[in-house]
Amino acid sequence: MRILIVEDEKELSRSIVAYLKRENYVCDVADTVSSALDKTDSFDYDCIVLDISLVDGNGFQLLRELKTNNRADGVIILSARDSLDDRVTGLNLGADDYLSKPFHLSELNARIAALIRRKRFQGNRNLVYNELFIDLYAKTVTVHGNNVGLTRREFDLLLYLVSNKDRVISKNAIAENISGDSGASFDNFDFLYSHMKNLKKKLAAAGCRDYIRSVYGMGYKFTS
Amino acid sequence: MRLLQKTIRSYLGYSVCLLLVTIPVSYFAVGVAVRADTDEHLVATRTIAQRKILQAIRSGALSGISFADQDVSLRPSDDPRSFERFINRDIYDSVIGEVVPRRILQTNFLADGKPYLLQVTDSMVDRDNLILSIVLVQSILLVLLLVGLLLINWRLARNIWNPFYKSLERLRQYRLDQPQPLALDRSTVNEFNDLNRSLRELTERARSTYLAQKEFTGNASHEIQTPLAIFQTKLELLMQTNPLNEEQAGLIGDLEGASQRLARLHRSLVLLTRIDNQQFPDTEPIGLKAVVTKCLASMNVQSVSLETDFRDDPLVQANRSLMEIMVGNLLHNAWRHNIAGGLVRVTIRDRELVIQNTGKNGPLDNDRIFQRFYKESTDPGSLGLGLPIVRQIGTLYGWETSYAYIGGLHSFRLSISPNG
Repeated sequence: MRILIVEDEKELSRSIVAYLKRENYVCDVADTVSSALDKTDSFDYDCIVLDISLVDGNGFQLLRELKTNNRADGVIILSARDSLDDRVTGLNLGADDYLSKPFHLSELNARIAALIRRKRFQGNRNLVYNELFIDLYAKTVTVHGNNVGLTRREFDLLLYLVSNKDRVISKNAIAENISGDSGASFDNFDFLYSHMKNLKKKLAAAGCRDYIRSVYGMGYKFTS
Repeated sequence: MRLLQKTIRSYLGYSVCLLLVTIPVSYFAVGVAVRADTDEHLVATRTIAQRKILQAIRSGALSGISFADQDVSLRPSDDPRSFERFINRDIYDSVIGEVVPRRILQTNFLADGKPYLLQVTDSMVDRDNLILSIVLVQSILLVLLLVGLLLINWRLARNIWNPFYKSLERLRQYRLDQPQPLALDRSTVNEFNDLNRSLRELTERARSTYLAQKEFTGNASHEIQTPLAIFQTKLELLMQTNPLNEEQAGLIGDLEGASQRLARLHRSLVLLTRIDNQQFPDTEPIGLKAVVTKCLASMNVQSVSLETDFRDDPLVQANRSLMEIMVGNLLHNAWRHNIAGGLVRVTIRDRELVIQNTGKNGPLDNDRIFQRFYKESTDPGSLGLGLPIVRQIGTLYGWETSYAYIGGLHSFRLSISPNG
């Protein structure tokens, strides 16, 4: 799996690469539009993480180029939160997803995973992890063939954890994932705790092993 | 007091003063003129009479002299001196049946060694009549003067002052955050043009200062995002390091919390800037009930008892994300500032959304809770931007947001205008 990260802020691209490398992705970095164009000409990337504001031009330029070659799918746009039009323009140009800065690496990772699942395994819409069977299409979870009656939020929570397995995901990242990108974000974790408690209880009742660990109150980890 | 009233009042005062002075002055002036004229006439009559008397003396027929004029009389005098004097006397006039003032010229002279008194009289103008006519004439003059002034002023106010009132109205409606500059008409009056120029310069200066500040806020919140993103991602990487002990995890957790707070602050400031810049042009009809229900779904409903009363479901023309942020912020506050086992009551009636909650005792500071960065609680998660955002969105759409402490409940009311 090959991923191109187009980001002119070196420290940020280094962070992204460091996080994604552990998913066994091959990561390339471009910090300008021209070098990104060079790279997209040479390789067929599974996913491109594209920052819109670049030093030598606009990320949309690259996106337009990709669209003319029908390769715009697989692009996740990174953009400033205050530019409303970026989201609309980007998605209209064929980008798959949109994330505004600052973002959580676990969130980016989950989005990339979802994107690659959609692109690569179009027939297979399931995620299997030992006894855990996640049907992404029907949004249901079964353990040993028994259906675990999860709510929509609990399902999203489990998927988020599984997408970042063996990583510590901060409580803030999870809370933000649950509440979505609305302005009213959570600083109160009661909501998260109660969902997490219910999820663990339901999985345990269905006979699933306890994969979800709390890490010193800092966050959660789906351990193998 | 309007300008017109003020000028008219001054004119009126001046006119009355002038009249009070001119009435006695006219009276005396006319009186003096009339008396002088009468005296002249008396002297002339006396001169003619004297000439006739001298002829009669020469012809020795003085005793049989008679005058055609009733106002002239000659009779022997007791006084041997020769003199002449004017006197005033009120004499009853049998013809008109009233007492009239008369002017009398008495001339005492000697003829043939005997003293004679020649008396010539003339009626004078009635003093009362004189005063009355003068007052009447002056009063008519005053009325005509005032009516004329009023008409002229009214015309002036309508025509000459018109650009002034227009400028005033434009100025009243002018808002610093409106995109177009203050537009003022040209006037034919130089003073108004000077005024308009000064006003334009003033508003332009204020506007550029305002825009510079707005731009600064916008830029500052924009520039924060990159270092914030780096900080947040590095922290996430730090979380993945191994081995990690509890002490380090605690520190990282604290840092994460702080960076999250910063991120929320950034998000709120960016939101406020975007509302200021009117960057939410897309509006659609939204059912208020659906928005409230959706926002309630993301609240921890178990922690308090929730009462809902959705009597109506008004349709609101607004931007969907702003609407959700607005309702979300109000609900968030109701939960955040609640007490354990408290109550949240959400009511939709007509075009009003009322969110009430239990909380700390006593009313909040109504003037300050809608101000940016004002914090009622010591809760570190509270940014002091929730209600300002609510008010800003309300102002954007012309809706009223208010707070009241009613029956031990903190009540926030959002009144959506009928056309919004």
